[in-house]
Amino acid sequence: MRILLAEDDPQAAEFVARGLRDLGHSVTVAADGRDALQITQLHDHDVLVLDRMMPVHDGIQVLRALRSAQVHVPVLLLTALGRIEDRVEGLEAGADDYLVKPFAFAELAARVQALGRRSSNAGGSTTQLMWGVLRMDLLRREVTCSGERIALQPREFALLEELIRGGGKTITRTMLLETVWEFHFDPRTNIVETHMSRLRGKLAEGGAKDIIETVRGVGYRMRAV
Amino acid sequence: MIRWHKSATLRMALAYTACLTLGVMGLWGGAFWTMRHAFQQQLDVDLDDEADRLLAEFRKGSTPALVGAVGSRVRLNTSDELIYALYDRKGEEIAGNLPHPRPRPGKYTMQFEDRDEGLDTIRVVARDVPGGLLLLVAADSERMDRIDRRMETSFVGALLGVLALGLLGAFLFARLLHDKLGRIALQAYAVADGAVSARMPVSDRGDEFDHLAASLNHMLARIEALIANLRLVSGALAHDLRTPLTRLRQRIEDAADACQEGRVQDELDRATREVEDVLGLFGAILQLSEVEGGGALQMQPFDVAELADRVAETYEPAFAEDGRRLGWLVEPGMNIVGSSSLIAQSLSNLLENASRHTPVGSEVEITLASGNGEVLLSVRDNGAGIDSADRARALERFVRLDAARSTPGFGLGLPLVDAVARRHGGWLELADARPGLRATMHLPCRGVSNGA
Repeated sequence: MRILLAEDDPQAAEFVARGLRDLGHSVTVAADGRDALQITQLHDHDVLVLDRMMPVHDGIQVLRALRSAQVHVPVLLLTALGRIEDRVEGLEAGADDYLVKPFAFAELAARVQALGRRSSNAGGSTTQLMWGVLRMDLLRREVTCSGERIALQPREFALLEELIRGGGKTITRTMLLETVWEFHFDPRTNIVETHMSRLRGKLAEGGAKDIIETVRGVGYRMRAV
Repeated sequence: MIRWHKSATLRMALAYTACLTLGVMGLWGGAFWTMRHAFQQQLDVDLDDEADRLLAEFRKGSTPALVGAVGSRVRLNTSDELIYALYDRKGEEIAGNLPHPRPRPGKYTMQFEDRDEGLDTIRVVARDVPGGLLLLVAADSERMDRIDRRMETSFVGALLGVLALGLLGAFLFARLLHDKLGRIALQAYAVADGAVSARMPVSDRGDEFDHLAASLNHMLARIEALIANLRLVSGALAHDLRTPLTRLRQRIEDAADACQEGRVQDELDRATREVEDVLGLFGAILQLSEVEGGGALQMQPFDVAELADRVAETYEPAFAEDGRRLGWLVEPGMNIVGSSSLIAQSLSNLLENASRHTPVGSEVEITLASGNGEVLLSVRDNGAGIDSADRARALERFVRLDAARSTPGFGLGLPLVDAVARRHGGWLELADARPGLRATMHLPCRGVSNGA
């Protein structure tokens, strides 16, 4: 993917850019908001990673300028502030995802992946998801394994849906908390883990054993078929 | 709505009316006494003059002249205004119109039995006349009584007038003050609820209320400036301190990637978790300041019942895995205006507290109910509870009660729940659940109806 990273702290920018390049992405770095705007006018990108606080134009200003110019590239907004309203403000300005500094690199990488995938899948609304022997019917809220129905709780269903939509890429614990449970804070209890173990138990019973892999310290992904 | 029995202004106005009434009564009493006194003196002078004139008759023509004079006076005195009597030395009334035995000489008020009117009071001047006679001139006190009655009537009228005007004034005064103070109190509540930029209304009259409002506004402006300053500093702190911490964490991650030796990798993972703990504490402090400081929150109507169900379902497996039971009793369809994210986090904090501070095998229950314009979201456990003496301290920042020293946590969980409840215009109640602790968030509905 072609990624534009706008970050005023050179050390942080270098760390993130190196990590993303290691994953096979091509990364352009802009040191402030004005640079970022100029670069977006010259080149197309698959994903933008914008720091919320930057000199000249901050992340929100860049984002508003882009959206008002009808540029719909997916944007991940980064911020150092722990403010509750920043997330809402960022999303309202048109950000697609939001990550509070400091973050683990794996968290950022997973979110960038997810954003890139979302833009390439855009337009195709599906009612069926498939992964190996598993088939999910999103309208009837049904999961079948080789034709046999597996009964799942609503949250377990949502959990499996997120992972399958991830297409084998890692989905982090925090991403799952936000999308499946709408928790925008870090609970100190292993709630994702316990729900995941129940889901795995039900899937194994239904014949899809070990279909979900744990990525240690980061999250989960569907095992390649 | 004025609660009259609790209105200080009404009390003051009533006291003022009472003072005024007492004053009017005192004034009237003084005037009455003075007038009565003057009138009596005048009467005494008149009676003396009449007695003098009769005695002058006596000096001119001795007893027969006096008897004649008294007799003609009685005959001429048709209006019965004056009463005359002449007694001889044996006490017989030899002239006059007073049906009364011979009294003592002097100047006094006495009563006698009147043929027509019964007991009557008269003012008497009685003088010894040479030869053992006694001359008496008296005036019926009815004249004075008539004047007294007229004065009493006018006094009662005036008093009632003063009372009526005073009471009317008191209520109007109380209502005016109540309205003025009410507007100030309303604004103060708005400020306490986070609208720090709200100001008291100031009119251009420049009266006492305007002075009060202006001084409060001055105070609010100062507070707002301080809060803004604090937010600026904490924002800068967040940025300045998180950036080096982020780098530290990145370095550790890099080192862990570069290092192939498992034992060192484990150590580095542990170091990452330590950094994460520091960052977590930092985030918790910032968030608490943010909620307490009154930063703008995303307040929207949402269904607390749906939220409670969702959080309960989320935690149930984790509780079961740890050997505790989580139950919930949620009244459906309960809308309030607020930050659903913060309420979810608060409920989650309460649940984590309940699980952390109770022994394995404990039961924890979430209940959601409504009443008195409030939504009550509570978490009850059957653990050891908190001593009533420690409950207030449990809401202070960084306070970790002795019993909790050995468990992980920053001591910011309950303070956040408390701050969130207060930002929603409610409060957090910690109560004895006999046994265990019941933590209840009281959240006012704020006029949003309970959706079916």
